[in-house]
Amino acid sequence: MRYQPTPTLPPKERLILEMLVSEGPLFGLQLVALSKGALKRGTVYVTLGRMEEKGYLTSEQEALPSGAIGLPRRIYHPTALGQRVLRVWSQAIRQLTLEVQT
Amino acid sequence: MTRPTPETRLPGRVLVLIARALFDEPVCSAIIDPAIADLQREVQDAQGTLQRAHAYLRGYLAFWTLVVMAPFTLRGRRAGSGLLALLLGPTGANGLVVFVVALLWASWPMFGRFIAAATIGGTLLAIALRRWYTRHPSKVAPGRPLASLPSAEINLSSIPVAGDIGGLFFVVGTVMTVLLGVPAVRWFIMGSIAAGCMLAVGVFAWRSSHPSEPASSLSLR
Repeated sequence: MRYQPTPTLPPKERLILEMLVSEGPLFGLQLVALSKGALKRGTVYVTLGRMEEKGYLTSEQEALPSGAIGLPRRIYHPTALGQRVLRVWSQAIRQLTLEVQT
Repeated sequence: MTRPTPETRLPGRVLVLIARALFDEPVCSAIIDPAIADLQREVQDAQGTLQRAHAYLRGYLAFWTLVVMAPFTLRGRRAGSGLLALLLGPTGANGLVVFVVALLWASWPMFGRFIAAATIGGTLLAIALRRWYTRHPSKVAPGRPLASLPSAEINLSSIPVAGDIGGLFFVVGTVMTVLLGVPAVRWFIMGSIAAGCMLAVGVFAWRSSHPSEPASSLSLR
């Protein structure tokens, strides 16, 4: 039987998924601003890249308006897998908290 | 004189070139380019010199953070052989520099200016030691072959050490480090230094008065 690693959701990835699910597709800088200091500009794209590799997110380049110069930014969307992992992970944490408190 | 075009004034052009030299295409497109794009967008949207300078500062800081962290965070993502070759060097020795810089950076919030002073002091001491040894090459004490030792073991007291200024620097540096790090043991260290000095004088006097007899290795350990 092929070994399949259990999906994990570190706190920063969970925060990103929560923001994308509640706010809709966002750019990296918008995620940093919304996180109120929890995400840093220097590391957010590493985290986003890792999440894309895991299949939790997809991204696409923004379409630059005609005449605009510079590199296009990336906008990020949660995938169905990402949303499912977030839902299951949140339920597990709630359940764990309940079990520990009672 | 030609006026700069919008393309030549585009912020982050140099960063794009650096990124292309250091990283391979998938990493550039997924991780580095969005960070540079943010910088460009923020600078273009900034109003006034102060806001623009702030946007530049934050963007450049984010970019260089990515560059420094790349060897540690992008290992599985093919950070690019150019970057690894640059950071680690042909023999991997440059990795020590990266490690030291990372260590200084990480310990700065805890020790602040002390780290800067220690770095400068350590560098100057290293330069002074190097100059000293260039002018006064060390006399390395002859060691005994392992086969002649009673038993093969790791025993610091059996390691032959040449008694010169390098050894003194090492001892003083070690004692100072312990004193700074654990000030509670300062009186114990002072007493140990005094006792050690007296013992050294005694051993020196005994060996001077018995020059022909081989010193007992046990009594000197």
